[in-house]
Amino acid sequence: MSLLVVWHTLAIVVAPSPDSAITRSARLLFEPYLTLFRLENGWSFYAPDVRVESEFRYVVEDASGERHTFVPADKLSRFHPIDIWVKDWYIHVMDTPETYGDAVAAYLCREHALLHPVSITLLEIEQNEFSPEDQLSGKHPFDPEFLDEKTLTTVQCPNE
Amino acid sequence: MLARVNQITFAAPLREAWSQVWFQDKPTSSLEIARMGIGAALVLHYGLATPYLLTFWGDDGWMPRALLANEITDPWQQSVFFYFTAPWQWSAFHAFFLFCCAAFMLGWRTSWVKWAVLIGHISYDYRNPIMTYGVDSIVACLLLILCFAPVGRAMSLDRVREVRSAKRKSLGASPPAFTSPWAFACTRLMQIQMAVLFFFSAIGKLTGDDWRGGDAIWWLFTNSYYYNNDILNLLASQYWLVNVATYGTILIEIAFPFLIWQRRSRPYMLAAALFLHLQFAVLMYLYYFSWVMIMGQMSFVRPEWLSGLGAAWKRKMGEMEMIYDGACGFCKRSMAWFLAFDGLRQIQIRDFRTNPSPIVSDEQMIKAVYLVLPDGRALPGFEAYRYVVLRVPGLWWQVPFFYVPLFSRLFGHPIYNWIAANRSRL
Repeated sequence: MSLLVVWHTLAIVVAPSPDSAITRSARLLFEPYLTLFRLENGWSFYAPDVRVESEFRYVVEDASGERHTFVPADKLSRFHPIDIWVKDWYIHVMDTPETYGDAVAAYLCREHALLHPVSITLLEIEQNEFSPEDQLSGKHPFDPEFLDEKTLTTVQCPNE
Repeated sequence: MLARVNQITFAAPLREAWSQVWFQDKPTSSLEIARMGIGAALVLHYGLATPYLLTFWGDDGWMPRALLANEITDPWQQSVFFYFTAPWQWSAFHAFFLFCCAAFMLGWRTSWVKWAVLIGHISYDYRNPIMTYGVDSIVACLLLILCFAPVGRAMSLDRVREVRSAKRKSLGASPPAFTSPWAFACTRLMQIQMAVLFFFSAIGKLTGDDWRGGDAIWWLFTNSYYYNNDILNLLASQYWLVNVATYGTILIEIAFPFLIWQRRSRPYMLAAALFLHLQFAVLMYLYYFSWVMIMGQMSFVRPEWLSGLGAAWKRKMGEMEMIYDGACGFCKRSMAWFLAFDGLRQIQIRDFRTNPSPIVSDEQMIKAVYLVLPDGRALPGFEAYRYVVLRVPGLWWQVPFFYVPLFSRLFGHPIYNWIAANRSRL
């Protein structure tokens, strides 16, 4: 019993500890245990800095050439527990479109099959700094002057 | 010889100190609260994710198996979903997992369902690791400790079954509450987990300019995800609130791992941590995260506080004496079930056949069970149960049946009277 409490205590202290020669050697020992039970975490919530998160949007181009813009965040409900999972997923896709862009686009092609999509364009809406003075002067953090649109990738949908 | 004496002299106090820190004989009550709370959160969370099962975790969803190789690079990262091939397997596992989460929350067959919940939770996380966030790790950490712990021995259906079994032999029997040194060690592990979490969370913030400069909370609320125009208006006009909230968050997080251990400061640190997480829930909509953190903090609730709370509740509700027919097998079996839920032992019992009541006559007792209150009132049958279920916490789950306006009495009375009249045949 004593061995288990010592082992587990050391493991949960080693897991978030900053990188050093000591923690590196300790990690070698604890890594399988930490990974198997998913105890690995740095516990750095909103740290070191608060990231102003971009918004994910996508455009479906249909067979007639019409472009339909979708904002997934608009469909989410803050009261639904999956909301944050979905948000985190899109953040990851925006961070690594070269890895996940094709898979997301393929999924969206299937989801919007009724529109007969030809292509999907993934967009990242970057938010710029918004000061208290901006707020007091009646501006809004999502006014066009505070947003930059960045095209992540355009993927062709498979022919039906 | 001297060396051996020295060894004994030093070893005994060390062993004593070690036992004091880790292995005091204590009940599992604070761990049981964490079990119920985390179980409820998992049922709700994964239950509401059911329509998205194949989208989130399926092979044709957001994370096709081919892409998973980018994220899963360690053979120790395992998920049962890695071994599924047909969609029905996802559905069957999800249903089984939800069932285990509900059983874990209720404390039914806790000794094995807790492992199923842990394996299931880790499996979902590793099947789509990029979708998870901090709270999923916290849940895994707390679940592992609850798996080690002898949970399910109190505030659970397992305890109800144990008490019922003893009461089937003798209605007056009351098995002693479970205590064990291992329960205390696991409570301590959960406390250390929470303290480590707070400490590293504070350290991480102290290395960032947003937090050190006192502006972090402003940037947080300008984020599209947390945006609230009213809050932003207030913060913009009273910017000092941003500084107070930013530094206050760091202060609570850094103070928690140091001041939570002292007897005097613990209630204040718990209140501060509770306040912090209620803020996260209300202002940032982080309900799941806040709830799980609060459940982790429950490990710091002393068993004495809970027993004091129970005693105060018992005093406030007053004594209740239930008089039953000891010659009726069905009545005794029902009473054994009913009393098994009375964890605080608020209900006294009397068999009118062997110990007639001075308040309720034998003729009245033939017709129904009676509840006698300290003021001399005697409530018969349905009304007796209706009175009790509201006042005995273990029976609160029955309140909806007994307190539906009009319907409960309309149907409850005839159903009770029919059962009472036919009890010899049941």
